[in-house]
Amino acid sequence: MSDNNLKEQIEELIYREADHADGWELTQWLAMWADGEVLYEVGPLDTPNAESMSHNDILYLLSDNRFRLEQRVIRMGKATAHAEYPVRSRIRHNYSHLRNIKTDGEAITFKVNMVVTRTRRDTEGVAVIPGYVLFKLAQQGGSLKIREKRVFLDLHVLSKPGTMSIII
Amino acid sequence: MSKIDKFESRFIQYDPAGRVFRVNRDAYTSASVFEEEKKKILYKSWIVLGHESEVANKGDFVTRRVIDKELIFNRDAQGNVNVFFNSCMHRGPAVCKEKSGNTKTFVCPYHGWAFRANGQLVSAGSNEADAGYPPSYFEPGGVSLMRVKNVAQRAGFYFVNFDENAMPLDDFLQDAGKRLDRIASQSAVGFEMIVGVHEYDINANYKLLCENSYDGYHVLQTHATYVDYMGQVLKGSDIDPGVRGVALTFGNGHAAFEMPIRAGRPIAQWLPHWGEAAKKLIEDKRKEVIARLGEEVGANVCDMHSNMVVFPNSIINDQQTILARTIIPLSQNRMRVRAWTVAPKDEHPKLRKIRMENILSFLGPGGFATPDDVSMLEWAQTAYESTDVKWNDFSKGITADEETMRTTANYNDELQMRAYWLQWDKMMAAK
Repeated sequence: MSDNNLKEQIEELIYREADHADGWELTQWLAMWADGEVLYEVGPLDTPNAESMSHNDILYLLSDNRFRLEQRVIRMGKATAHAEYPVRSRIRHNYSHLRNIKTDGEAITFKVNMVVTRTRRDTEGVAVIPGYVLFKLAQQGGSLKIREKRVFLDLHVLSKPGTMSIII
Repeated sequence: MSKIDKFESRFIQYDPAGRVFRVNRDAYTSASVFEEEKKKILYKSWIVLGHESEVANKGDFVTRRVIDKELIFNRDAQGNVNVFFNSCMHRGPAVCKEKSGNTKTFVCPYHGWAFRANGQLVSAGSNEADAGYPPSYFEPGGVSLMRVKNVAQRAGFYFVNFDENAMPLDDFLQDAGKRLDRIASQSAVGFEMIVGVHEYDINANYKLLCENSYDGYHVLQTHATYVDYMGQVLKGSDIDPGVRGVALTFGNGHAAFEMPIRAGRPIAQWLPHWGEAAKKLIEDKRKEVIARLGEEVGANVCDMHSNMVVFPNSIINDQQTILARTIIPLSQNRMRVRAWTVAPKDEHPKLRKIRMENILSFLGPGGFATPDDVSMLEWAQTAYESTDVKWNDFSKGITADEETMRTTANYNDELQMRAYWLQWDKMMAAK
């Protein structure tokens, strides 16, 4: 696979992932993840070098394995997930500055900048959530799947709203 | 204070015989009430600042806001713990800009005034500048960072009080102090602070989070999705998924609920999906705690979890981990929550991993429960501010002869909140 071809494939995948998250297409979003163990997490705020430290040692904002990721998606789909019901946040992922693409056997890793805008209720204004993502993809059945998505935010405090009840 | 006759104050309607307890929503919405309660309650109470493990070594410091004061919490070269206001004694800027670290001196970036970790001024920036001041400025008893006078700890939790005439911490805490002791008795060797703090804002009055944190009544409704999730987690275990327990009041407005652990905990409840190796470690931990504390207390420490509010705004939860939520009330309708956790210093890595995973599934702004709590609080605040409804109802479980000091009730009654509000009302009534 040529570098340009791989880059295109990666872009196609993360844009699709963003569209599913933004559209609250939770089942399709979950289907983009690889079989087996996975990692979906958001690092602690305001912690230098957080990406080099594991969620087993320091307190992440969230860190899902396969079981919890599936449970998260089930929960988010329910009317009793009060934070996002009956009116869900309108969110928009913007990925840019794709770089550090590396392949290691079946695994592909890369880094991408991210800005998510989030609008919830008419009184809260628009929250801008900046950060970057470390992705790890797996080749599975001839297509690329998500093995890891590790998000690190450029925020000191989670605010407006102060919760992470969306797919980030 | 124990049994109270019927009364009506600015904020409370209390009618034990009629079994009614109501609180005026002005207590959550009025800017002038908020200013009044700062003076009468928040500056006159002991507020959790942090944990001793944050300043374990000489030179360790953290900077932190408590209520609306910016503070430095540190351990100096003599080994003493200090709390200073974070402002240069010369012309004002913060002398410490970092959140944490280790230092012998704090240097103001403006003109270079330098203060030792014990607060004492050592330099005005240069020899030339030093010569411009009386030598006594630089001697013990001379110029020093301004110290918060009232600093004390209980069971490793450090508190501050901004009142000149503060009562001793232990008198303030009453039986809440014993609860802190009990929580700390989980470890014979002490605790360490886990790196990573959950810091988030909620658009609601700070008292709404206090109420929510030991409200057993809301669990099944607000947290229906979490209850479903726990049903999946507990599949195959013999743990009773039912919610039951007691509410406890400790005096001076402090209270807690206490329930059997259902979500597993390194100290000491095992869940099947943690595996056999973890089972042995957790059983050993239970034996160690019971050998040290005796069967009755030891079993309580190992088998029960509790959520406590130390009046007026410090939350110490002994749940999946020991989790403190300190609240900065930013205004009458906005708060900043700082949630941090401590764990036994000598915890086995396997148990630490379990602890960390367990925290993440429930607690925090990305967990399966907190976002729903936050929504309830914000929706309540919005309705207080945009309807003509005047009163909140806290009558559940009230009896004609109720005592609110050092007593026990069903976990999902509202005794604990009545105890809080009676203390709050009493302090607000002061001249």
